[in-house]
Amino acid sequence: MSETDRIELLRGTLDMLVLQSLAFGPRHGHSIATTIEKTTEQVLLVDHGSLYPALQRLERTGLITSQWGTSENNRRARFYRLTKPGRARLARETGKWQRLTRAVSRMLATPAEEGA
Amino acid sequence: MRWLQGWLGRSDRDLLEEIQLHIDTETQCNIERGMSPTVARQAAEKKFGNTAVLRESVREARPLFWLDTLVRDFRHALRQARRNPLLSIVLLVVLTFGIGFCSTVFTVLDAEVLSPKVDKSPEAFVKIVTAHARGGAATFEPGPSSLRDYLAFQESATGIATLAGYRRIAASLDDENAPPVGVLLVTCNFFSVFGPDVPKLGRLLGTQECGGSGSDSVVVLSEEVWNDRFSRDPEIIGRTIHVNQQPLTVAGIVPARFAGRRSRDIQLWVPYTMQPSLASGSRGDTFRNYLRDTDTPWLEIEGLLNPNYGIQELQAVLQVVANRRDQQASPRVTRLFVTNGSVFSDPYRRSRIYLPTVIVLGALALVLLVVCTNASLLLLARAASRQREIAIRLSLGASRTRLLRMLLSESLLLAALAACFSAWIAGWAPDALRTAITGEPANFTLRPDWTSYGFLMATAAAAGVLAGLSPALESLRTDLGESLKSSTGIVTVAASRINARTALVFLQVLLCTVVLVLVGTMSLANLTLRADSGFDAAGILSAQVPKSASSMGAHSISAQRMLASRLSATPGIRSVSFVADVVQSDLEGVTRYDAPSHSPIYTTVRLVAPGYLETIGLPPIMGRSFTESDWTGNSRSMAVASEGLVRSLWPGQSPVGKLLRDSSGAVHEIVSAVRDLPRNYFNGTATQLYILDAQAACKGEMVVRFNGDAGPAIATVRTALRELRSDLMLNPNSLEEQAQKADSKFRSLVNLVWGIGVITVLLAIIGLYGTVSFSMDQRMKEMGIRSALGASVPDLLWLAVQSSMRPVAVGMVAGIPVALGATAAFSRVLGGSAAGFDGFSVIVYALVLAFLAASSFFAILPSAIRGATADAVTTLRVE
Repeated sequence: MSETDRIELLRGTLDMLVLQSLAFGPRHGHSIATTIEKTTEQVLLVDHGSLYPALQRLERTGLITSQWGTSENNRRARFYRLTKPGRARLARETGKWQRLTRAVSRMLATPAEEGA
Repeated sequence: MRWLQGWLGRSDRDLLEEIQLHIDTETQCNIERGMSPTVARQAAEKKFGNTAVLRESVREARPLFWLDTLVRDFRHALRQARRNPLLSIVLLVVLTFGIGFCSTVFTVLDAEVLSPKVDKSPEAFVKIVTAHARGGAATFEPGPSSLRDYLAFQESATGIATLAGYRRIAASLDDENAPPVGVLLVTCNFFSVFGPDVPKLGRLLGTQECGGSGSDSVVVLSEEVWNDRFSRDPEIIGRTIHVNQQPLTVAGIVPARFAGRRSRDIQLWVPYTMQPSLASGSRGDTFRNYLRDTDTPWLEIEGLLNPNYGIQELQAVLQVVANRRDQQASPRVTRLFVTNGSVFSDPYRRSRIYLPTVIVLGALALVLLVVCTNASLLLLARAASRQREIAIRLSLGASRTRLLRMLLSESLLLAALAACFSAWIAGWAPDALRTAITGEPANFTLRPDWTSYGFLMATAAAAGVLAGLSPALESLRTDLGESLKSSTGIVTVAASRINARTALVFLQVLLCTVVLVLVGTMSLANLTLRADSGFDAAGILSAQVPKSASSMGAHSISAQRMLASRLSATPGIRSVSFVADVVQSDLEGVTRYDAPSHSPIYTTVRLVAPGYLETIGLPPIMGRSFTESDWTGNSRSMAVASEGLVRSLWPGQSPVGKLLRDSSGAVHEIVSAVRDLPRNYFNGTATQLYILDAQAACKGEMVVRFNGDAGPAIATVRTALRELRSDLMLNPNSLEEQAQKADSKFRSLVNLVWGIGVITVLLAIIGLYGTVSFSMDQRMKEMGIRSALGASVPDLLWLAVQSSMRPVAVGMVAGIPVALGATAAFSRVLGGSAAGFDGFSVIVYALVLAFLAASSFFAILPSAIRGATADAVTTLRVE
């Protein structure tokens, strides 16, 4: 995929993506970034640097926790894990997002003449 | 530990480690995709973005980020202060003076007005203020409570508060002819309310001693009287002393400066049940037994709340008791207030202290403003030299609010340091200040409480912001291009920058003018102080009739008239009379009855009893004087006017028989004219009006003219008073001595004001010198160019002087009206009014302006000479 085809992340969606990437178990920062990229087939443009302020923000609000552990190449790494409130928030946000996308796509699918 | 870490935010090192791992892992992935190690690393770093910015944004999002910034700012401020130690020390001294002075004065104000004057648990202290309307009268007169009231209050308040009653009397101590001492008749729980916890010697009063039956013949002495009258006799406990000829056993000594001295002269504490014995020690014809006449109001009631109870609860309980007592003692209506014992909380005394309090606070604000302006000027000079640094910070992307905070932290740091020194000063200076003004130390603790410390902190914060704001704003108004281009770090002065500095110089000079005019006016008053009272004060004694006598009818006209006639029959005494000041102020605007539309003439008014004018030695020039028959009621009010007043009201006419109207609308007939008395310092005009009002005069002051020396005369009057009126408790004093006392008080006040004036002017001159010197540094290039273009040295000198003197001149001119207002306000506080006070003395204003102009000129001159004589080639080369 060429760089021009990639889409910039909508404001506020990064938190949701991070939470979702942690839904299947604890991960460290790089693994979260690659999970998002792989799962979205590289469509979403995630600035790796912006990941860390988001992680700290989520941790401070209690949606995730973190712990030092050992990475796959045997280095000390901080692993993030979803908390119970985090899981609840993810479910809520997912529902909201699906309603939003449904509404938007329905609107966009409507033939232009009807609105005129 | 983890919660703490989560709360504080993770450390920067942790984040750095995470970032490192992220980039390394990404690099590894890139190598696996076939990139060379160098390219793989570059790609990973590019994908990650700017790590410095990331770390900064993470740090800024932390909960305690502000603390971090604060620490950084203060470290920066500390570095700045160290870089220029002399300036920092001067600033610190200036700020410490300002903040320390303000908090010292405020502590005194707080202790005198806002807090109860006690040592033991001031927070639980209460005072019962009662006012009664008797016999269906509509007005409530504040006054003491009767014994039955007190006992009823005390009984109902059991469990809520301890209430103590007391009453001051004057009595002889052993020697009949020595001046009397103040005795406090107290209920026996008095010392549990006022302390001290431990007596200096012996013991304090116990409850059994108020039980009557002879066990009450005990007395507690003050350490002061033990010192002065008993030479610290260690065997004093158990000894018998005579108070009003009654033998009393000394039970104990209370330590010096005991707060239970409810007025300054109290030296002895005696159970209140001794009242009849102490009064009957002398054969008074109006002798009263307050234990028998239980409805006579005589006791002041103060107390301590028990823990967990508030003023409201006590008030509610006592109000019910007061209502019940009103029904028993009908017709009487009582208004009862429970206050915290401060003057400010007393509804009947509050209004009297409003204006003085406001004026004192205004004066404090003035001093603080002078100090802050000065500190501002000094900081402004440094701000100019830092413009290059600020420009670099701005161009590196620092926000202006962030820089403003950084620059303000410098003055705030200095103010905080100054506040620490000030807190130390406020620990001892208030006592010294009060002693300097009143001439004796306070008998209650005069240490700053939380209100004073709160005021200190607020003052310091205000000073820090005030002093730093204008320099900080000036620094930020930097032209980036200009500042960075200049190689010397000093930028050519922009027009706006001159304005801020000029405005501060203007303000400083204005404030200086006001302070100096106040100093000058007070000094002038001091010089002319009581130079001539206008009559022979040495031959006159006077004694205030105690206000408390009013509730007992002790100053009724008949009682006082009899006292006057009996006293004047005593050998050595020539005449006796009474006088009172008009309640609100001494001054009154009077108009002619037949010309009410004329603008009123302001004159000093005295309410007098017959014989007053003769007693002080003012025989009538024309007309008749008041006679004995004038003691009793007249259908028309009579008055005597002084010559000056006659001249302004009825020029060229005889005043006898003329009518005039005072400001309350009352009409008085002039019966004669007397000499003018010269005006005294703040209280009065050079003309006087004496209105015959025996009833009011009898409540005021007794005056006695005697033959011979003051000493024996005082003794004679005392003996006579003891025999005639033991209930009245008069303490006669020579008028001359009283005047001297008042004068020395005023002199110490003048000295204090002088001190402030000197420091203010010194500050102003330092500030002005610093500013002009600095602005000259910045104008060197301009001077060089002018000189190169052919300007002569005198031309340049004139240019430098006049541009620097302009704000000074404007400040002086603007200061005049402000000073006029300030002196008028000041004179009102000191008892006179603007009309009677020499608020405007041309000499004072001329001297102040000349002095300020001269000192400013000399502050400016060195810099001006330096600028004017600088070598053009050298200055231009340096630039």
